[in-house]
Amino acid sequence: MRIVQQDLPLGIRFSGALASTAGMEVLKRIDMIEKHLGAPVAAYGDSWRLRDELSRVAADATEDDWDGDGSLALGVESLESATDLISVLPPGFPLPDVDVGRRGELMLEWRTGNRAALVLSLYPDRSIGYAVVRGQARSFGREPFLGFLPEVVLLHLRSITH
Amino acid sequence: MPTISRFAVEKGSYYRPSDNTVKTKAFLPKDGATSVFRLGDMSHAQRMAHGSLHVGRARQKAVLGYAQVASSAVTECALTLLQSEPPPLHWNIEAWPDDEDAQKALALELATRAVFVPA
Repeated sequence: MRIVQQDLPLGIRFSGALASTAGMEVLKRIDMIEKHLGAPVAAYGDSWRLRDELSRVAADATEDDWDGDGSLALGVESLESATDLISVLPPGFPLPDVDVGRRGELMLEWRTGNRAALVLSLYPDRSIGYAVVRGQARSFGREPFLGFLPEVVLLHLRSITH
Repeated sequence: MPTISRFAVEKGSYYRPSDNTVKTKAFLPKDGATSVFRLGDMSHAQRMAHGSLHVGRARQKAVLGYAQVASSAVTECALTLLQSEPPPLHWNIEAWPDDEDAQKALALELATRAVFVPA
């Protein structure tokens, strides 16, 4: 086990024990996110919040059971998919909350009203799960992520943000 | 109106501190169940004390508050509430579907109906 204390590229200060190479890999990916997100997300005018959320969850979830509730560590593949997905979000969309799910998948969550919310889950196999609540309606599904937003995901995102 | 309470010990994971809305993750099941409490007409202080004793102490973390939602929301989602003591007044939300995204849709439904009550 190695004790590290370092300033991460996204402006957070990490201090702790990294027991796994997977954890180190996630930290490397944070650097990649900054490089990857720097240009496109800057156009949203709210990039600081997304960076803050991504860095927070990535730094917190480097080990299994990081939340004390049995959740798996954040998967590098999920982080990579999230990076790619965020880069193709249409300009002007509100930025999501970022969390790590129980299986180590990244979850992007939009809550735009009392009964308008969408959760996208980035799974290690590069599929995107979606779950949406809008008014009395509720739906869910899963689509492959091929480098652009699946049409059904885009429709749901628009439905809760417009 | 009967309610259920889901205690939070991780800041920002179960709720948004900016507006105290509840996130999907607050209700996602672990091993097929979501752990909640039915605390009846307890006061806020009594609820916090109950959560600190039976959740915070076990997790060795401070309880930050609880997501609260009407018990009826659970059954309206075709989920079930089953008593599961100890600890006292502990219940589980069960009958979750196997599909992860279906689970998230139901957890999201509960989250949009819930409010977060901070400590």
